[in-house]
Amino acid sequence: MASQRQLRYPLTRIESDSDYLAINVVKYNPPGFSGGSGSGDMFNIQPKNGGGNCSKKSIQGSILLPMPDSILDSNQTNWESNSINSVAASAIGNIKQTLDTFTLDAAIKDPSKVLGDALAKAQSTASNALEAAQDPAVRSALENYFVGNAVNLFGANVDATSLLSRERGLVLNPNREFLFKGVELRSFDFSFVMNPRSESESNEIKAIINTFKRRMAAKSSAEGSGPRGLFIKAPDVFELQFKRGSSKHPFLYSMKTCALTKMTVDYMRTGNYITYEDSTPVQLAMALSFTELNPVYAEDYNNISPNEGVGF
Amino acid sequence: MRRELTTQDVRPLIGNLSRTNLYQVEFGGLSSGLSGYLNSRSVSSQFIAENSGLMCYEASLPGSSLSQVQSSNFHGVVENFAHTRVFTPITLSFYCDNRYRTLRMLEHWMEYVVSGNGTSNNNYGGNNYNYRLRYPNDPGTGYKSNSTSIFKFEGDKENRSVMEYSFIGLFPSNLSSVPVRYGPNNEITRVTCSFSYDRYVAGSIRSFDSFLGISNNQQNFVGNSIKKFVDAGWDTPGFVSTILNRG
Repeated sequence: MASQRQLRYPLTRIESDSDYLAINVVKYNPPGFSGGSGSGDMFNIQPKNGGGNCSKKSIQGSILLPMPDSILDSNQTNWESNSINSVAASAIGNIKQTLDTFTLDAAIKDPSKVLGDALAKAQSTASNALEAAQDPAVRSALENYFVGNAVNLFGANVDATSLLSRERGLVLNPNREFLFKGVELRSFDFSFVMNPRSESESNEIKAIINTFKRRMAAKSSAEGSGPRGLFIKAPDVFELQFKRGSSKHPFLYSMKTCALTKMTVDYMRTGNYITYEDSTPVQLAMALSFTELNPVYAEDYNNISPNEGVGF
Repeated sequence: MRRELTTQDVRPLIGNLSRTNLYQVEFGGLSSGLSGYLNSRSVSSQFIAENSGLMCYEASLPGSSLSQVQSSNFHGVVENFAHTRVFTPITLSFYCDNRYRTLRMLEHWMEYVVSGNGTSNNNYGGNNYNYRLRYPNDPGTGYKSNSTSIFKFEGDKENRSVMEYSFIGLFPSNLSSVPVRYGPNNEITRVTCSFSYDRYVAGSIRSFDSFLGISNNQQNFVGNSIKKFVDAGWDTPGFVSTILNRG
């Protein structure tokens, strides 16, 4: 790969109807902190500098491999179950009203006043809630709830909800909902069984394994990593694409730029040590684990036509 | 709808059935390394190409199967979908000539597969010898044959139909032990060997036939006519076959 030549296994000619996995080795560009220049994209740090958008100029070489034994994609977003009772929701609403009138100057000049106002607002929320509950039984229940919470301030460790349930057989409506929490990065595990058919193919396999091992390793003395030993620089990253001939695969998924997080090579897949005349193992299995550098967003699908597969 | 048929109607069909005893095996496409190895064991390239197949007294036309996956999208109905064509090894049985060339061909072909460490040094018979494999598809030293064929044909000269099976990546994988015994003097030594291969093609895969459009059992009037012209020996100067680089 030092000469940036293309490596491929198997060495047979790739026809226009051949399906394969093309992997470009790309120099990693750290995302940095600076976003866009305008007010509309000032928080958008990924498209401009993100590692997932490495420039074509930084391609270090490419490797073509046969279709892996297993092709899976798993898209995931994080959601979690969440609850908030009506009293807390009302309190938060009132505090937000307080924050609407909040100014940084006032907080710096008289922090105790700002805090006092906020607590007073919370207190009035509790009072309002009690007043709103005209039913004496409900009022009593809410009082218990507030009392339970109040004594907890002094370390009583009382479950206010349990008090309520114990006395009245009621609990505050938790308003339980499943709420979006964040995005997940996708991972891909590919394994390739390789059988060298000739000496030249054996050399190619050796070069492929060597390239992956070298390119996934951190650089301890790379340019820009300071005095040797002080910093280590990020490894290269990989652009993966399923292809048919020279085109993008018409069905399978697309992948963003990935980091190679783990590589496992089984040199004795035959079960015992048996080699060719130059000590090349008769059969090897190479397993690669990739993780995308950037999450998948809905906007990523905007530029993918239906003929280009299922998308990300 | 059932057809009313007489014996006269079906005679042309069932009166011209194929017979099992008309076939020919032809080995070819061995690497120069393998040919040289066998040559040095008294098995000439001419014997391999022209005679070894004739010594095959029992063969089987290859078979294959389609692996399937099942689906039950329609409840109560199981649909089958083919996904992989699986080729099963073939078994060939040979008469052994009195110079043991058939036996040597198979024995040393198998030996060649695992002769990566060489066999010419004194160490070959030693107790510290290690086996290493030869590369299967190395252009000069590979152990697979890519031009072995089985031809099935009929005896009558008018019928020029030939069913050819062309094997890709064939090599001997299981040489059965050869029974020898005291008994009648006229018993012939027979050798049976199973061959593994990557796949086969029904029909020719020669580049010449592909050029004529008659490979893979395709019918092409012009191509068939040129083939007959060449096969009949009318192309004695070899112009056509030379031009078309008959492979």
